[in-house]
Amino acid sequence: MTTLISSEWYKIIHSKLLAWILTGVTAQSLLEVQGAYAVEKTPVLGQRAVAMVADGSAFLAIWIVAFVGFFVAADFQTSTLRNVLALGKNRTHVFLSKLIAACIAVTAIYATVTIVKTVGYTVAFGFGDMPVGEYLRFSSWNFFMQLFFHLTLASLYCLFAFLGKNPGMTILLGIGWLIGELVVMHFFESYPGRVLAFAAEYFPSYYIQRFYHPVKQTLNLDPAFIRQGIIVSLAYLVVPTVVGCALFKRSEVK
Amino acid sequence: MSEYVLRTRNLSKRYGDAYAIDNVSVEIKRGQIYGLIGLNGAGKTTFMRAVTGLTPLTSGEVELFGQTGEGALQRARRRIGQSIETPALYPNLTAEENLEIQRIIGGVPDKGAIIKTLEVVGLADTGKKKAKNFSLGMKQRLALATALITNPEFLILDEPVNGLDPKGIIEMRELMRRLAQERGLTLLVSSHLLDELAQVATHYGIIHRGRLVKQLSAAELALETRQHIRITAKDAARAMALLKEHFGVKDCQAVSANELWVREQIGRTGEMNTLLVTHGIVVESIGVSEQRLEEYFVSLTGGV
Repeated sequence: MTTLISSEWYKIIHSKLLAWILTGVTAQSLLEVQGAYAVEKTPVLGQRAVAMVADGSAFLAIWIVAFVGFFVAADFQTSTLRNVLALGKNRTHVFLSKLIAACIAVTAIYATVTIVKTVGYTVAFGFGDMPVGEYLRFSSWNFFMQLFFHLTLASLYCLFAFLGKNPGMTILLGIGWLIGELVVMHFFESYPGRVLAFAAEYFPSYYIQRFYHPVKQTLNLDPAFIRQGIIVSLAYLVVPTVVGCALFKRSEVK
Repeated sequence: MSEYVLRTRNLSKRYGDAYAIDNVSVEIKRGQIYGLIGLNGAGKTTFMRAVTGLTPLTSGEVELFGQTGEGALQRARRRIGQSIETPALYPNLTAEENLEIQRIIGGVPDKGAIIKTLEVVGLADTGKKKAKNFSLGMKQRLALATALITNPEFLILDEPVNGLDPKGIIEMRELMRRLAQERGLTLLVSSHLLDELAQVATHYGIIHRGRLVKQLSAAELALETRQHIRITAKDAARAMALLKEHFGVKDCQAVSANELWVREQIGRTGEMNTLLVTHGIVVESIGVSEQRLEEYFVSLTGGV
């Protein structure tokens, strides 16, 4: 398992794919800041930027699925997965090592957006006057909770990569999931009488969108909300992983 | 330590209703260069994929280095190097980077193994050139290097000369010979060209429509393709009957409606010709020749 993780790490560093994606993410974040500066209706202080990352969650998801497609699913296309399996490596370990690579990428993408937006909004509107201790609490709580919610995407997209077995199909499945999730959530929440609203709580996006209130500029720290968000996210991390491992164990590798 | 590197027992793989390999039982001993010969789609690659665990089996058993059972087999596979189907490479990485990944996965502690392996396959001077810019021959050699970096005892190569130019074919052949002689590797090499394999293989398995038609050593193959009288006549069946009646010929074969091979009494070619002519059979040609390897292969597989 450690040799597999080491090889994934080596590939992340040397393939330059993550570097390209981080460059794209940086450019997109700067454009968002520039757009906010140009409009200037609701100035965002740098200290609040960490909470604004979730605003571009859909775009982040596309960057993440692009990474998983070109990094994980590409191994099926180039047949390099064959070199790993023919050496007798355990298929569950292979899946988990790819998932860890995807989690590293999600963390790097999320951290980059956070840093770029914090610096960008600070330059555009100033940092704000939150005391250091409060800022550290606010930013770390925000960062780690939102990152945790977003890690569910790594697991889901890895499953798509092992199902699709090529970058194009993985990206298509990922975007399909993204759109489907938003449409279904909207349907549940807007159903007359809100009798289906509870069903929206079974999607990680529900917690990403409601964790921070941009107008009130407050975090949702309701313990029940946090607990439920963690359970749903854990389920989205574990279930695709278990399904992915089970399918991969029985699948053919070209 | 088992003298057998690989033993398969009734290996079968079914896709839908069709068997890609059907009850294939192969035995490969240490130090052999085993040539697996078959037409395209005969089941060579499926067999190799089954041995390396890339495809789940429908039935049968694989024994590697005397080990059977899922866990033991997985461990035994660490002693295998393979290049099956197309070269499996990271296209955006250099030759060194490709090998470094395989070195890490294989748990090879010696970093110097990369340069040494690249030298063995003649790719030590490729520098920063990415694998996607390599020629097919270079890709084949890099794939071979990827298989060698983990210092395997058993090397599985699927059509290693496919797509290579004549110079590349000679180089690959020499490399296989050297690996067997200098490193004592056991090789399983597939090809649809028997003539090509005959230049390196010590043993052969002929596979056709998923079934292993024949297993034989190089010496046995030489015996099978020994000298024979080749007769081209209008009616091969009648000619055969006459030869059996008058010469007591037993080892003869009508390879087609017009061609007959007699593998005995080589010195009586003239007499046979006279006999056939006097019985009204038009003999278009008669002479002593050796069976070409490809013809032997066709005679076993029916050519289709």
